Amino acid sequence: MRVSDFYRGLLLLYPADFRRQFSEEIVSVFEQRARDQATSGEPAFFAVEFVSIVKGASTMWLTKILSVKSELVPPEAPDTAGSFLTLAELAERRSTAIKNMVASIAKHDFINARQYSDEEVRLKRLIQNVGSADSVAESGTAW
Amino acid sequence: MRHVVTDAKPLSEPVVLILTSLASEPKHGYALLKDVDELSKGRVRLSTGTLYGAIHRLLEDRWIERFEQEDTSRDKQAYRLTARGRAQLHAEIERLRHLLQSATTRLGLRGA
Repeated sequence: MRVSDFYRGLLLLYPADFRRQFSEEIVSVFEQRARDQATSGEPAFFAVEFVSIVKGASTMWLTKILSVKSELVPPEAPDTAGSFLTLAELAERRSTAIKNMVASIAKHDFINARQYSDEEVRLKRLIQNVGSADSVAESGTAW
Repeated sequence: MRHVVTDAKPLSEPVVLILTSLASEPKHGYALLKDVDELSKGRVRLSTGTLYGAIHRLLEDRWIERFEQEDTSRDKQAYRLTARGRAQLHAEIERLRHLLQSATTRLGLRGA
């Protein structure tokens, strides 16, 4: 088995959409660098390349899993903390929490990523509560 | 369209180097790696996986965009900086400039 075949196999660890977008390009760049390495003789080249694929793929999957998990959290008792904020402010805070969560994952800071994920879920619930309260108030009918 | 960066957070060094590399001209992946190596004087050597992880995020944030180069036989996909990416890089450079100024003053290195 050639080294680039093994490398191509490792790319299967990435989510399918990422593979579709970048696989061929990544292998092409890897092959060019492997040729450079043959002349420059960088000893840890292959180890660094292989480990970075495993790390990159796990980070990407974790990002995906966290974003799916936040969609699946069931509604609990209404959360009133922060309900003095407008819908737009809540949405902005939620967007910031998502950005921070992704940034933390990218830095492999999973403790903070978890906190941002929880914050995002809380804000999402608040947005739903505020939204439904607004629509009841607008229609003027309480069922 | 003019992009104003209001929530600028410190960028990681690889991201700054990738954006800086693309600021002068579009590049494909291999050329980007070479240029990052040169820009950092060999201090930052990105692995291929790390580079494409960063490219993926930068594309999602629309700081860079992908296009097909027609004049090369092998590396067709190239990347260029968007107006939003350029604004982010400007904001980061400003932040670093300010930091450098403060540190220079505190260390009494002015004019050194």
